[in-house]
Amino acid sequence: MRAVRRISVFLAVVLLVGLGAGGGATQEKPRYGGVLTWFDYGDPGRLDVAGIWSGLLHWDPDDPAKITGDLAERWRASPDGKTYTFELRKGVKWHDGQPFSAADVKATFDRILNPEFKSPKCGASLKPMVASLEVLDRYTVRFRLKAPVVSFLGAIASAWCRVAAKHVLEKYGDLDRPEAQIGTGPFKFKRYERGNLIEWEKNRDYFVPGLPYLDGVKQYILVGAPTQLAAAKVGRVMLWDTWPPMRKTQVAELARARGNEIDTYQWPVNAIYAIYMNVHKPPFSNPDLRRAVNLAVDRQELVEKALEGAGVPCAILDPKLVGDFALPFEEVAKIAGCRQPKDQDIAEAKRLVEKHYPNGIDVEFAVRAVGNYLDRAQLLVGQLTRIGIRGTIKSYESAAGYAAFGKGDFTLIATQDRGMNSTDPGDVFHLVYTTEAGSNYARWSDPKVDDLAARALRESNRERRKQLYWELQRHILSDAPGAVAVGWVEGWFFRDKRVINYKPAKTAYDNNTFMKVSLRE
Amino acid sequence: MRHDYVMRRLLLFVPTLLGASLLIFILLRVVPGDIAEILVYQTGSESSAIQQKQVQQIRAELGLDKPVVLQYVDWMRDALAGDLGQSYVQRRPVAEILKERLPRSLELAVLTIVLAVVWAIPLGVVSAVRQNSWVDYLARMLSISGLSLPIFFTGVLILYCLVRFFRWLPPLEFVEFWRDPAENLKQLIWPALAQAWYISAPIARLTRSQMLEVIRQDYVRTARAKGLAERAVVYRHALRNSLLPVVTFVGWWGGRLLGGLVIVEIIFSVPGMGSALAQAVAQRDYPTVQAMVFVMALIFLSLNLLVDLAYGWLDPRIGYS
Repeated sequence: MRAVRRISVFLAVVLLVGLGAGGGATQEKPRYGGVLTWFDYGDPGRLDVAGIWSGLLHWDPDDPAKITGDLAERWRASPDGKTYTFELRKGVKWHDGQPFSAADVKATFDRILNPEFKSPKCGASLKPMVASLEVLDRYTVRFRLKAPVVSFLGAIASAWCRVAAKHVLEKYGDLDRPEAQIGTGPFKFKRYERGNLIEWEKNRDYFVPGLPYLDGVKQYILVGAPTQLAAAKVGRVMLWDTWPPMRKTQVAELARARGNEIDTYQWPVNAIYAIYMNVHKPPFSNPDLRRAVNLAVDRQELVEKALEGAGVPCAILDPKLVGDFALPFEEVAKIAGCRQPKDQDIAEAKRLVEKHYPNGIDVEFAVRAVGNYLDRAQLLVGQLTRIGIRGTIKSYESAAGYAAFGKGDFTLIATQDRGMNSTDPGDVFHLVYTTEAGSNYARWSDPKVDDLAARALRESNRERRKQLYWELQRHILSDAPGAVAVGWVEGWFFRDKRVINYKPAKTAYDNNTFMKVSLRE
Repeated sequence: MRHDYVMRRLLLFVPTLLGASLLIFILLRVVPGDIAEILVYQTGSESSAIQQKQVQQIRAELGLDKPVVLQYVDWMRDALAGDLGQSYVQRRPVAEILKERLPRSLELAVLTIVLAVVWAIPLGVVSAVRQNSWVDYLARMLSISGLSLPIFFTGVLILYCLVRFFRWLPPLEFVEFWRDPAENLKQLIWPALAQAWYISAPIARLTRSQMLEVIRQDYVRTARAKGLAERAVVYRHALRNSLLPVVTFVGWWGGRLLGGLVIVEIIFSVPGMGSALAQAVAQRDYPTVQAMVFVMALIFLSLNLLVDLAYGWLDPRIGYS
């Protein structure tokens, strides 16, 4: 009897300890204070990455797959799905003390939706959807859509669609300069030392009581990969989660140096890796030549070698992000150009090139000298030489490359990743493939693509929408597109275990407000 | 006589500076991509009639639609009036950027030169005095290694060793010398060391070869014969007369360094002028590049003049006619 009692006491203690430990591991109490440090690989184009601005909606920091209210307390769609009404929080203040109201929301989205305003992310998503925006009262706004669009809320929740202050927009005209960094978010802009660091401090008037936990965030500008790695190894930077991802070998080296002090993980960066051909310039004005490239590019080799395996070859949509909207792998693997082995497709590609250029052709491959783009371009040169397209690489500094691509001053872009605005399956088509797409560098215009993309955007029946996207993917993969989809980009990242409650979102920047992040002592 | 010489040299600055500024002005406009296009297309958006209109608007605002000669005349007129213009990218006066970045790079350059000279000249002397001994071989090996290892490799090697053996890294947040000298030196000593190792190699080799030549001169033999201590012979008689080409070389390197520090500035995260210049070139920020190149040319010319004046002090036989 005594033995039974002892065993019972022992089991009870074990159970209690176990529960306590388990609870502690999953429900660690956030701690106030501390400064989170991370880095960027160059001076950023935008200074708001650490939560200066809030959105109407955002992806839940506790559950990045879920949309929740941010500046909007409540929202509702009309029965026909063509209008969305947002009721805004009251008592919210901008960082300069001015009150927030519906006029700010209208000023923000009127600016983004203005056809004369360049907004390749939020604008590219919203312009095909939104007809107009009206202020119903000081704290209510209504969006009128061109047609019912199921992905509207996802687009509005994107980090690229945050709300700016009307008075700031009127004063500065844009949000690029440090003085214009006035938002309603959990952190206020503190200082920017160009080439060295950006610093944000806690917004003590943040509209969510008790948040944020951190005193501030510092982002160092670390241009060289060895410097970034060294900083991570000694714990001076606590996380990296966006483009360009770290290399597999770098992450392995970091894991060896830091052991169990960090978590490393492979994660999609929600970007497509594309090869663009200018359809207004020979030789790629000829669909046969575009078809030849589409057939000859060995996506598997590029993903394996250039991305060190971190990617999904031939994917126009990544199943990890959009689920069954992505064309099933079994079908993709049978499509000409994507199938293995490549012999049959290369022979056909070669025949197409020889039909127009019996002695082959010399083509300049433009590439921005960022990340590992030059390595990718070299691989492509090797692949296309097999079909008679002899490439010479012309590298551009990052900004000059964008300028050349934007103007159409290129023949072929050997590689370019395009990050999505949201995880909606329609994003990639409105960003890269439709005639009006924000990054349709190829100037490709295919009525079938435009029609399918527009119909899919308006389709509210999930199954029918899925079929439309499948049809789009089949068409682009097997036709003569302006942009060859090499695949979907993933990468390796790390997070210091001192960082609590940091949950990577599916789209870069969506998780970077750090509103609920805290640091262990 | 020396006064006339200095005046003449200062007057020669004018055509040289004009030439340098004109050259960089033209080169910047020859390379593909201008600032207006970069500002409009930097986010990766595709071209459209609207964006082409925006490019034209920006060009007009910045005066880039004028003929290049007129642009140059405008710039030179403003520069002579003390206005170096506004940075298109940073949207603040270029003079402000220079004021911020130049002292950092100058400090790094001075530190580099001091480290290089302090290390390389004694190394060259010892190497010459103990010619063909193991000390000489070791010194030559060190020199050769400094010369043959590229700076980016040396820089990364230093970073690697600091992390690997001390689990320590120089501060990532730059602190000005006047605010916290210790913290500032903790950051700058390492890039200075990487750069100094590279330039100390030719200085050591040059010192060695000059010393070997001078040490065999009659007057050195005379100095020894009259019973002077070997240290006095080497340092007072031989070294001083060996230093002329070394001084020229150090002066030349000092001038080059400001622009050449870009690699170590990037590796060690020092926001100096080299990295700012590289960035400005990449973004076609014409006013910033022009002003920086102008200042660098001015510093280079001034250093050369100082080196020439130092000759007279090192060798009284040299005149300034």
